[in-house]
Amino acid sequence: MNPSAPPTEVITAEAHVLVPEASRVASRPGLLRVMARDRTAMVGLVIVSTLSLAAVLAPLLSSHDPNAVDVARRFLPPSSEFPLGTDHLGRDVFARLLFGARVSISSALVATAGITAVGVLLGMVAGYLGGVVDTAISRVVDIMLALPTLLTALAVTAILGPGLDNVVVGIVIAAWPSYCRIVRGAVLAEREKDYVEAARAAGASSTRILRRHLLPNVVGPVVVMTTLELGITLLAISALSFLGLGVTPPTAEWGAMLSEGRTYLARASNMMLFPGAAIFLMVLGFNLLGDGLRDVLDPRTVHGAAWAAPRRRARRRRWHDVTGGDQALSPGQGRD
Amino acid sequence: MAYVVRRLLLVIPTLLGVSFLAFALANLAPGDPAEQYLRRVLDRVPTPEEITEARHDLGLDRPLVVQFARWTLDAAQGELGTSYASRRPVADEVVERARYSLELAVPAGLLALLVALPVGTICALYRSRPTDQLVRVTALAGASMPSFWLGLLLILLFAVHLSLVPVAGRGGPGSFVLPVVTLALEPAALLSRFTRSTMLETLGEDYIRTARAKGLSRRLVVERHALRNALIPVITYFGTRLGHLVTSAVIVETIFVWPGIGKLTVDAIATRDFPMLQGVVVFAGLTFAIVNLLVDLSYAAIDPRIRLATESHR
Repeated sequence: MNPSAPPTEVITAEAHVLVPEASRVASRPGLLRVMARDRTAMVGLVIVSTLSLAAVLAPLLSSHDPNAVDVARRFLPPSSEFPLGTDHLGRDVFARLLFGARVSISSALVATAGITAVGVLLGMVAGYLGGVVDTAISRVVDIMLALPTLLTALAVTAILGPGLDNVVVGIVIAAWPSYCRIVRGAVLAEREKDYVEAARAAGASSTRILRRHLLPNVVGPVVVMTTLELGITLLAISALSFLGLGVTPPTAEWGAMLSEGRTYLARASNMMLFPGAAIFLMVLGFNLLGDGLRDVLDPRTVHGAAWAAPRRRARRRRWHDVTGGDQALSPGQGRD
Repeated sequence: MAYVVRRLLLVIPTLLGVSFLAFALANLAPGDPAEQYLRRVLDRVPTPEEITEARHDLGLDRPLVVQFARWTLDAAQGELGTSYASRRPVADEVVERARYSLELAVPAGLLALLVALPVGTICALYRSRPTDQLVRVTALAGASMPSFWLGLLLILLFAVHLSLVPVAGRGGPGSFVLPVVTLALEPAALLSRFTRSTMLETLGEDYIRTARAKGLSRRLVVERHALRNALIPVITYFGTRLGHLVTSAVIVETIFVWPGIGKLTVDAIATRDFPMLQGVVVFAGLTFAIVNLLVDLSYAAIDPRIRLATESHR
């Protein structure tokens, strides 16, 4: 489960075809090899892959049914049979943690994929086409960013009604604008470069230029953002779930488990400790990985003069910040 | 001055947008608002005639554009409707609860700043030394920490096991400690990371070398030149974080059963109290806009280049 792998392959496959300049990101010597030298990225990769693997192998790692209720064995402390103890319904916390990983991680993946798809598409279209289209998209982005992302997600989910699907929809609706803004900036900076002109002169269509030339060149920041976004999204989903908007019982999900654990805080702290640690570790993994990837891909080189003059310094900082640590927070943050 | 006016005018479209979002939210909600309203008021299933009448009274039979204009005009005058749940004016309740949220947000913001500025600066000055690395790892961990888990951990340790502070609720000074710390961790972690990177960037500037070259002490260069310049983006960043404290409040106030705006939001969601939810959205948008405005204005006050740039652009 290395989120960086597929986009990298895309670059190497496409970028060399026509224009050498377009391959700037790809021409760096093997992403994985560079990353291997970056300790933080490797630690992040190990955490993320271990937890993901545990989610995939859940049925093999635990012999207990995560939803099997047995009142006779409520609130058992950790033992050899129940490595993390049992909960208020006598269910195996370890099994629930493993099966919960499947729900939590996959919903974070789906939400992030949605955010990336919408944000990248609209951002590229706005940046490349300019004019009315750009104005329309940018105004919507401005309005959406006038509210904290988590609040928008919370409100949308509340309106749609509880449920994991609605949580994912709410998060996608709330989170795409910050993506869109950054991709648009990157495209604006790239658009004026010679290789785009060359491609246009050679008769390439807008779609082709966007897909074959501009996309590979904005992929650097997008990969970094997506990795960090996975952590933010996981936090957001767990948070909304914790507030009772997510999965319906008895489905195991980390945020919901934590919410149950809160009720029995004093009596059975194992119910609260382990799901929280799982969320924390996974988010930390994505953040370490994203941090390391940023050092390798350094998206700031792709960026540049895209921001308006008066607030240029501030904007640039914010960009740096977004790829920097800002996104490593909770949802909505850092996207002002 | 021209900059201030321009910046003030920019707030208007933002607020219109927020108002539109809030309006859209209630209209996207499944079910007929008139019926929902009557069910609350009458405590029974309303008849079709009653619904038609209520639709007219509430202005729901008019075109959406008219409804939106009315809603926006009302909102501009602080008229946000009546809560389904408490039957009280939404605006009153929002303002009342916001006070409790501020009691947490202000100390949390100050605490974050107090920790982050020195820590970030020290990290930048001792780049790549053990102190720097230790703080960086801690800051990243802090940024990855779910606030709802941190809150519970703190309660478990300090309230349940050590009995130093109450578990939850708003009471004496002790009851403020855990929520404020929980609220402060994330901005503190992010702000120290940000201060560090900004300081590093500033320390690499030519004028720092010049200052050192003309014989100023290291300490003086850091205090007079580097810190001052690095402070500008840090303030901007801190401002944007302040706006986010509203969101973090939702989680923290739920855990600590704090009667602020965050708790109000969660309760409004639980009872499907849409006017209240709209009110919270408008309030959050307004807070956010004002904070951003203040940040931009203070930014212009600190950095003359911004004022000059705007004026020469006209």
